[in-house]
Amino acid sequence: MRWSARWPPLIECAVGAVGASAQALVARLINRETEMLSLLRGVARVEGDPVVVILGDREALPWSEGVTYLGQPSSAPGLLLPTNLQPSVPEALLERQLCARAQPPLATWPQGDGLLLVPLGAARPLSRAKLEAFLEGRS
Amino acid sequence: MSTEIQAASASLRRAIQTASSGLIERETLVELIALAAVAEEHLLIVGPPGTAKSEAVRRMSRTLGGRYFEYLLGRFTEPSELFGPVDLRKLKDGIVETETTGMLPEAELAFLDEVFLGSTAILNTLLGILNERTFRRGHTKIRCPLRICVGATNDLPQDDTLSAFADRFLLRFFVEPIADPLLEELLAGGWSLKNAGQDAEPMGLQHLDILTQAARSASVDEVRDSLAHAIRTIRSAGVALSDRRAVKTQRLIAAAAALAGRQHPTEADLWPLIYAVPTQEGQKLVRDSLRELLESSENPTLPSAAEQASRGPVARAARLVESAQSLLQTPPAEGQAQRAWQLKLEGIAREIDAGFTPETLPESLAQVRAQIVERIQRSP
Repeated sequence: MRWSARWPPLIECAVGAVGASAQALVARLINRETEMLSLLRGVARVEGDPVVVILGDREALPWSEGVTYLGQPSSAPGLLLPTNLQPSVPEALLERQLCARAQPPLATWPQGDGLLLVPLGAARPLSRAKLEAFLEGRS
Repeated sequence: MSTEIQAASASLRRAIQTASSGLIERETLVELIALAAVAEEHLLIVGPPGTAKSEAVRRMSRTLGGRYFEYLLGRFTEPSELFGPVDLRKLKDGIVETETTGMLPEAELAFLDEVFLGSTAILNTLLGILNERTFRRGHTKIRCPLRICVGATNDLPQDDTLSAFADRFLLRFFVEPIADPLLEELLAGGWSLKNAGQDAEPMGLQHLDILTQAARSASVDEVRDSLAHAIRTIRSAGVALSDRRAVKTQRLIAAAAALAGRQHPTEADLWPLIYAVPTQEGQKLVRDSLRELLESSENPTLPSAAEQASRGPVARAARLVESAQSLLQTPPAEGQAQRAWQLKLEGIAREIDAGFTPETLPESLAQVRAQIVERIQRSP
C-alpha cells in the first residue's frame, strides 16, 4: 500500500507520535495547565519504541516536532488516518482489514516500511501523573 | 500592476485587518464587504441574531470612511425613516420632494438589518437605489453615491414576491454562531471590542475608487471559458444560478483580480463564484463540485475569503503565512499574554503540519514554519 498527499486534509481530532517524538510530545503536554489537560484523552504503549496517541478537539491538540495529526475519514469511521495522507486502497477496505486484526476504533499511520496500528478503546483522560509515568517508561 | 493600485490594495488590506481585529471568525465577512464595494455589488448576510453581522459592517464602514447609513427595518417602518421626510414647504406648492440629508439616498455605505421586513413601498424604492443607484420618490430623482448596501436577515425569504428584491444582493454570506472551542477567544475579543478601531484613520474612498476603476477596465476574456464550464458544472449539480447572477459574477471576478494585483483575471480569481450561489446548501455543493477548478485560488488582499470559498492549498498557505507573520511581529511581554500568544503559534504550526506534507509544503510556508518552530523551542 502507498500513501499520497490528501487535499483537503481531514480535520484533526488526534495526534500520534513514536519514539523520541512521543517523548517530546508528552514533555510539552506536562507543562500545560490542568484544565487544558482535562480536554484531552490518551493511550500509550511504553514497551519497545514508545507510542502515544492523544485525542481531543482540534484547538486543544498540542503541537510538537515530528508528530502525525490524525482525522476520521467519513468512509471509514472506525479509523483515524493521517490528516494529510490518503491510502492507495479504498479507506473502507482498509478499515475492514485492520478491524479484523484489532478492535476499533483504531489509529493508523505509516511508520518506516509498515503501518503502525494503535487501538484507541483504552483511551483515558490525561493527567500529569500518567504523563510522568510515560516519560519514566512506566505504563 | 501600477504602484497606485498596489498602494490602494495595501491600504484596503490594512483597513480589513483593522476592521476584523477582535472579531472572531469574521475575517471572511469583512473581506467580502471589501470585495462587494470594489465590484459595486451588494452583500446579503444570513445568520441568527447576535453573530456580529452589524458589528462587522459598522467597523468596516468606519475604516473605509465615507457617509454611512444604518437602519433596523420592521414591518411598520415608514419610508421616511430610510429616505427622509417629505419637504413640507414644497408640499404646500404641490411638489412632493423628499429631504434626503443624512438619509440612505446620500449614503456611500449602507447597512439594512432585517432588510426583508420592509414594506412594498420601501422595497420598491430600494430596488431602484440598489439596481440603478437612483432614488425616485414623487418629484425627487437623485443619483445616489451608494458603493455597497449590506443587507442582513435571519433567514432567506420564502416569499416569491421578495425573490426579485433578494436577487439584487449578488453576494451571499451565511454566518453561524462561534464554535465552542473558540469561546474563550470570543469572550476575550468581545471584551476589548467596544472601542476597537474607532481611533484608526479612515482609509478614504479614493483608494476604493482606484480599485473599482481597475476592476472595470479588466478583461475577463481569458477566464470566460473556465467560468462557463464552472456554471455548467454548477447547474448540472442541480444548483440554480440565474443568468443575471452568472453574468454579474464576472464583476466579482474582475474585482478579485484587481485586489490580487492582477491586471486581468485568471483561474485564481474564480473563487467569488461560490458566494454568488444563493443558498448555503448550494454553496457547499458547488464548493465540492468545483474543488479542482478552484485549487489555485489565492488573493493576498482577501486571503480568508479566497480560502473559505475554494478550500484550496494555495489560499490556505497564504492565509497561514499572513497569520504567522502577524503573530511573530507582535510578541507580547511575559506572563499570561505570552502563554496565549505561544498557544496561537502552536495552533498555526499544528494547522501547517496537519494540512501539508513536507513534499507539498510551499516554500513561503516552510520558511514561516521554521520561524515558528524556532520561537516555540526557545520558550520553556
